[in-house]
Amino acid sequence: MARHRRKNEYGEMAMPISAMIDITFLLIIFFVVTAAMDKEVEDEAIILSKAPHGKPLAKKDPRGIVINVRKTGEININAVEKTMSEITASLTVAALKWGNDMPIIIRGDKDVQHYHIKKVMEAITKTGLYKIRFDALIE
Amino acid sequence: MAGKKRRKFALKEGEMPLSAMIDVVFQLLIYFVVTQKPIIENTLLTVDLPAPGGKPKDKPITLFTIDVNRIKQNPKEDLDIYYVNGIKWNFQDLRAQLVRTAQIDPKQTLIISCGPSAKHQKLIQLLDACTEAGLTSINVVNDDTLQFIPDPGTKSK
Repeated sequence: MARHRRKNEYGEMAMPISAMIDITFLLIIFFVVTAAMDKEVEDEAIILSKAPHGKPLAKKDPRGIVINVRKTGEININAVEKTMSEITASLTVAALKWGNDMPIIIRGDKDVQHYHIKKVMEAITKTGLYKIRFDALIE
Repeated sequence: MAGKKRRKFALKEGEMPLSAMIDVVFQLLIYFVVTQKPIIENTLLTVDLPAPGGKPKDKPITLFTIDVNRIKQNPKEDLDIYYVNGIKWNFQDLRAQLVRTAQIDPKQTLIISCGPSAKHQKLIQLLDACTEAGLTSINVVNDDTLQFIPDPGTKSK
Protein backbone atom coordinates (compact mmCIF):
# COMPACT_ATOMS: atom_id res chain seq x y z
CA MET A 1 0.00 0.00 0.00
CA ALA A 2 1.69 3.09 -1.19
CA ARG A 3 1.34 5.97 1.20
CA HIS A 4 1.74 9.44 0.02
CA ARG A 5 3.29 11.97 2.28
CA ARG A 6 1.66 15.27 2.50
CA LYS A 7 3.31 17.94 0.49
CA ASN A 8 3.50 21.37 1.88
CA GLU A 9 2.60 24.42 0.03
CA TYR A 10 6.15 24.71 -1.27
CA GLY A 11 5.94 21.29 -2.84
CA GLU A 12 8.47 19.76 -0.38
CA MET A 13 8.02 16.54 1.60
CA ALA A 14 6.88 17.46 5.13
CA MET A 15 6.95 15.43 8.36
CA PRO A 16 4.33 15.98 11.02
CA ILE A 17 6.61 17.10 13.85
CA SER A 18 4.11 18.61 16.25
CA ALA A 19 3.43 15.26 18.01
CA MET A 20 7.16 14.58 18.26
CA ILE A 21 7.76 18.00 19.83
CA ASP A 22 4.98 17.35 22.33
CA ILE A 23 6.58 14.07 23.41
CA THR A 24 10.03 15.67 23.56
CA PHE A 25 8.72 18.44 25.82
CA LEU A 26 7.02 15.90 28.05
CA LEU A 27 10.30 13.98 28.35
CA ILE A 28 12.21 17.16 29.21
CA ILE A 29 9.67 18.10 31.86
CA PHE A 30 10.00 14.59 33.33
CA PHE A 31 13.80 14.81 33.47
CA VAL A 32 13.80 18.34 34.89
CA VAL A 33 11.38 17.34 37.64
CA THR A 34 13.21 14.14 38.57
CA ALA A 35 16.74 15.56 38.34
CA ALA A 36 18.18 15.91 41.84
CA MET A 37 19.79 19.31 41.57
CA ASP A 38 20.21 19.78 45.30
CA LYS A 39 22.00 16.49 45.78
CA GLU A 40 25.20 16.74 47.76
CA VAL A 41 28.54 15.78 46.34
CA GLU A 42 28.70 12.06 46.84
CA ASP A 43 31.89 10.08 46.91
CA GLU A 44 31.45 7.70 44.00
CA ALA A 45 34.34 5.53 45.19
CA ILE A 46 32.31 4.30 48.13
CA ILE A 47 30.27 1.13 47.77
CA LEU A 48 27.66 1.15 50.48
CA SER A 49 26.53 -1.90 52.42
CA LYS A 50 23.01 -3.17 51.91
CA ALA A 51 20.35 -2.86 54.57
CA PRO A 52 17.15 -4.17 52.98
CA HIS A 53 15.07 -3.68 56.11
CA GLY A 54 15.99 -0.04 56.66
CA LYS A 55 13.34 2.60 56.38
CA PRO A 56 13.52 4.67 53.20
CA LEU A 57 14.49 8.28 53.71
CA ALA A 58 11.36 10.38 53.83
CA LYS A 59 12.98 13.70 54.69
CA LYS A 60 16.60 14.53 55.20
CA ASP A 61 17.66 16.61 58.16
CA PRO A 62 19.27 19.68 56.53
CA ARG A 63 21.66 20.04 59.45
CA GLY A 64 23.31 16.67 58.82
CA ILE A 65 26.98 16.46 57.92
CA VAL A 66 28.04 13.57 55.69
CA ILE A 67 31.43 12.03 56.39
CA ASN A 68 32.71 9.64 53.73
CA VAL A 69 35.07 6.84 54.71
CA ARG A 70 36.67 5.05 51.79
CA LYS A 71 37.79 1.44 51.68
CA THR A 72 41.40 2.54 52.05
CA GLY A 73 40.63 4.53 55.18
CA GLU A 74 40.68 8.00 53.56
CA ILE A 75 38.13 10.29 55.12
CA ASN A 76 36.49 13.17 53.28
CA ILE A 77 33.64 15.65 53.57
CA ASN A 78 32.08 16.79 50.27
CA ALA A 79 34.91 15.07 48.37
CA VAL A 80 37.56 17.13 50.19
CA GLU A 81 39.97 14.93 52.09
CA LYS A 82 40.29 15.91 55.75
CA THR A 83 42.51 15.04 58.64
CA MET A 84 40.97 14.02 61.94
CA SER A 85 41.77 17.40 63.50
CA GLU A 86 40.05 19.19 60.60
CA ILE A 87 37.01 16.96 60.98
CA THR A 88 36.90 17.63 64.72
CA ALA A 89 37.10 21.38 64.04
CA SER A 90 34.29 21.24 61.47
CA LEU A 91 32.10 19.21 63.80
CA THR A 92 32.75 21.57 66.72
CA VAL A 93 31.65 24.56 64.63
CA ALA A 94 28.58 22.67 63.41
CA ALA A 95 27.64 21.56 66.93
CA LEU A 96 27.84 25.17 68.17
CA LYS A 97 25.70 26.33 65.30
CA TRP A 98 23.07 23.59 65.14
CA GLY A 99 23.11 21.99 68.58
CA ASN A 100 24.35 18.66 69.86
CA ASP A 101 21.41 16.71 68.52
CA MET A 102 22.33 17.27 64.88
CA PRO A 103 22.85 13.99 63.06
CA ILE A 104 26.17 12.95 61.59
CA ILE A 105 25.90 10.64 58.63
CA ILE A 106 28.75 8.21 58.11
CA ARG A 107 29.00 6.85 54.56
CA GLY A 108 31.39 3.97 55.04
CA ASP A 109 32.48 1.63 52.28
CA LYS A 110 31.24 -1.89 52.88
CA ASP A 111 34.81 -3.18 53.02
CA VAL A 112 36.33 -0.47 55.21
CA GLN A 113 37.60 -1.75 58.51
CA HIS A 114 35.87 -0.53 61.63
CA TYR A 115 39.11 1.09 62.88
CA HIS A 116 38.59 3.97 60.42
CA ILE A 117 34.92 4.34 61.34
CA LYS A 118 35.95 4.28 64.99
CA LYS A 119 38.25 7.30 64.45
CA VAL A 120 35.30 9.26 63.06
CA MET A 121 33.08 8.12 65.93
CA GLU A 122 35.67 9.26 68.45
CA ALA A 123 35.90 12.67 66.78
CA ILE A 124 32.11 12.95 66.96
CA THR A 125 32.07 12.00 70.64
CA LYS A 126 34.77 14.56 71.41
CA THR A 127 32.61 17.36 70.06
CA GLY A 128 29.63 16.35 72.18
CA LEU A 129 27.53 15.14 69.28
CA TYR A 130 25.84 11.81 69.82
CA LYS A 131 23.53 11.07 66.91
CA ILE A 132 25.19 8.90 64.32
CA ARG A 133 23.55 7.50 61.23
CA PHE A 134 25.14 4.94 59.00
CA ASP A 135 24.24 5.28 55.35
CA ALA A 136 23.26 2.07 53.59
CA LEU A 137 21.37 0.96 50.52
CA ILE A 138 17.94 -0.57 50.43
CA GLU A 139 18.25 -3.15 47.67
CA MET B 1 26.53 18.11 -5.93
CA ALA B 2 28.46 21.15 -4.83
CA GLY B 3 26.44 23.33 -7.07
CA LYS B 4 23.16 22.18 -5.59
CA LYS B 5 21.40 25.02 -3.90
CA ARG B 6 19.13 24.73 -0.93
CA ARG B 7 15.83 26.28 -1.34
CA LYS B 8 15.08 28.89 1.27
CA PHE B 9 11.66 28.95 2.77
CA ALA B 10 10.17 32.24 3.59
CA LEU B 11 8.24 32.30 6.83
CA LYS B 12 4.70 33.31 6.57
CA GLU B 13 3.47 36.20 8.61
CA GLY B 14 2.93 35.16 12.25
CA GLU B 15 5.02 31.96 11.92
CA MET B 16 7.82 31.23 14.36
CA PRO B 17 11.18 29.75 13.34
CA LEU B 18 10.93 26.37 15.07
CA SER B 19 14.05 24.63 13.86
CA ALA B 20 16.44 26.37 16.30
CA MET B 21 14.12 25.69 19.20
CA ILE B 22 13.84 22.02 18.28
CA ASP B 23 17.64 21.79 18.18
CA VAL B 24 17.90 23.25 21.67
CA VAL B 25 15.11 21.04 22.97
CA PHE B 26 16.86 17.94 21.64
CA GLN B 27 20.15 19.01 23.17
CA LEU B 28 18.42 19.45 26.52
CA LEU B 29 16.79 16.07 26.17
CA ILE B 30 20.10 14.38 25.39
CA TYR B 31 21.74 16.15 28.37
CA PHE B 32 19.08 14.95 30.79
CA VAL B 33 19.07 11.40 29.42
CA VAL B 34 22.85 11.18 29.74
CA THR B 35 23.07 12.70 33.23
CA GLN B 36 20.09 10.82 34.65
CA LYS B 37 21.07 8.37 37.38
CA PRO B 38 19.04 5.39 38.45
CA ILE B 39 17.00 6.05 41.56
CA ILE B 40 18.76 4.34 44.45
CA GLU B 41 16.99 4.34 47.74
CA ASN B 42 19.12 4.94 50.78
CA THR B 43 18.44 4.33 54.41
CA LEU B 44 20.07 5.70 57.52
CA LEU B 45 20.61 3.33 60.42
CA THR B 46 20.56 5.33 63.61
CA VAL B 47 22.76 4.61 66.59
CA ASP B 48 23.42 6.74 69.63
CA LEU B 49 26.74 7.49 71.17
CA PRO B 50 26.98 8.19 74.89
CA ALA B 51 27.29 11.92 75.52
CA PRO B 52 30.69 12.66 77.07
CA GLY B 53 30.45 13.29 80.79
CA GLY B 54 26.72 12.83 80.76
CA LYS B 55 24.94 10.43 83.06
CA PRO B 56 22.33 8.14 81.62
CA LYS B 57 18.82 9.05 82.73
CA ASP B 58 17.77 5.46 83.17
CA LYS B 59 20.20 2.69 83.62
CA PRO B 60 19.64 0.41 80.63
CA ILE B 61 18.90 -3.21 81.29
CA THR B 62 21.20 -4.96 78.90
CA LEU B 63 20.84 -8.58 78.03
CA PHE B 64 22.92 -8.50 74.91
CA THR B 65 26.39 -7.46 74.12
CA ILE B 66 27.07 -8.51 70.59
CA ASP B 67 30.69 -8.68 69.56
CA VAL B 68 31.50 -8.06 65.94
CA ASN B 69 34.82 -9.63 64.99
CA ARG B 70 35.86 -10.89 68.38
CA ILE B 71 38.70 -13.12 67.29
CA LYS B 72 42.01 -11.33 67.67
CA GLN B 73 44.15 -13.29 65.27
CA ASN B 74 41.78 -13.72 62.39
CA PRO B 75 40.88 -10.51 60.60
CA LYS B 76 39.23 -12.44 57.77
CA GLU B 77 36.52 -13.71 60.03
CA ASP B 78 33.31 -15.06 58.58
CA LEU B 79 30.74 -12.32 57.98
CA ASP B 80 28.02 -14.49 59.49
CA ILE B 81 29.62 -15.18 62.86
CA TYR B 82 28.87 -12.99 65.88
CA TYR B 83 29.41 -13.44 69.60
CA VAL B 84 26.61 -12.76 72.05
CA ASN B 85 27.81 -12.51 75.63
CA GLY B 86 30.81 -14.57 74.60
CA ILE B 87 28.91 -17.32 72.81
CA LYS B 88 29.33 -17.90 69.08
CA TRP B 89 26.19 -17.28 67.03
CA ASN B 90 25.34 -17.75 63.41
CA PHE B 91 23.78 -14.63 61.85
CA GLN B 92 20.49 -16.33 60.94
CA ASP B 93 20.03 -17.64 64.49
CA LEU B 94 20.97 -14.26 65.93
CA ARG B 95 18.45 -12.57 63.66
CA ALA B 96 15.69 -14.84 64.92
CA GLN B 97 16.79 -14.23 68.50
CA LEU B 98 16.66 -10.46 67.96
CA VAL B 99 13.07 -10.78 66.71
CA ARG B 100 12.14 -12.79 69.81
CA THR B 101 13.83 -10.21 72.04
CA ALA B 102 11.98 -7.35 70.39
CA GLN B 103 8.67 -9.17 70.88
CA ILE B 104 9.34 -9.28 74.62
CA ASP B 105 10.63 -5.71 74.91
CA PRO B 106 11.27 -3.51 71.88
CA LYS B 107 12.97 -0.92 74.09
CA GLN B 108 15.62 -3.42 75.06
CA THR B 109 19.04 -1.78 74.95
CA LEU B 110 21.52 -3.56 72.76
CA ILE B 111 25.23 -2.97 72.93
CA ILE B 112 27.22 -3.76 69.84
CA SER B 113 30.93 -4.02 70.48
CA CYS B 114 32.88 -3.73 67.27
CA GLY B 115 36.48 -4.79 66.84
CA PRO B 116 38.84 -2.57 64.79
CA SER B 117 39.51 -5.16 62.08
CA ALA B 118 35.84 -5.90 61.41
CA LYS B 119 34.40 -4.95 58.06
CA HIS B 120 31.81 -2.18 58.13
CA GLN B 121 29.46 -4.43 56.17
CA LYS B 122 29.25 -6.79 59.14
CA LEU B 123 28.17 -4.00 61.47
CA ILE B 124 25.57 -2.74 58.98
CA GLN B 125 24.24 -6.28 58.55
CA LEU B 126 23.70 -6.49 62.30
CA LEU B 127 22.13 -3.03 62.53
CA ASP B 128 19.80 -4.00 59.70
CA ALA B 129 18.76 -7.12 61.59
CA CYS B 130 18.03 -4.92 64.64
CA THR B 131 15.90 -2.62 62.48
CA GLU B 132 14.07 -5.62 61.06
CA ALA B 133 13.37 -6.89 64.57
CA GLY B 134 12.16 -3.46 65.69
CA LEU B 135 14.87 -2.77 68.23
CA THR B 136 15.59 0.92 68.45
CA SER B 137 17.88 1.40 71.43
CA ILE B 138 21.25 0.45 70.01
CA ASN B 139 24.65 1.55 71.20
CA VAL B 140 27.78 0.92 69.22
CA VAL B 141 30.98 0.79 71.23
CA ASN B 142 34.50 0.26 70.02
CA ASP B 143 36.40 -2.69 71.38
CA ASP B 144 39.85 -1.28 72.09
CA THR B 145 41.15 -4.50 73.60
CA LEU B 146 41.53 -6.02 70.15
CA GLN B 147 44.54 -5.39 67.97
CA PHE B 148 43.99 -3.69 64.62
CA ILE B 149 45.24 -5.77 61.70
CA PRO B 150 45.02 -3.55 58.61
CA ASP B 151 44.02 -5.02 55.26
CA PRO B 152 46.69 -4.77 52.55
CA GLY B 153 46.62 -1.41 50.76
CA THR B 154 44.73 0.40 53.49
CA LYS B 155 45.81 3.06 55.96
CA SER B 156 47.24 1.62 59.13
CA LYS B 157 46.91 4.85 61.15
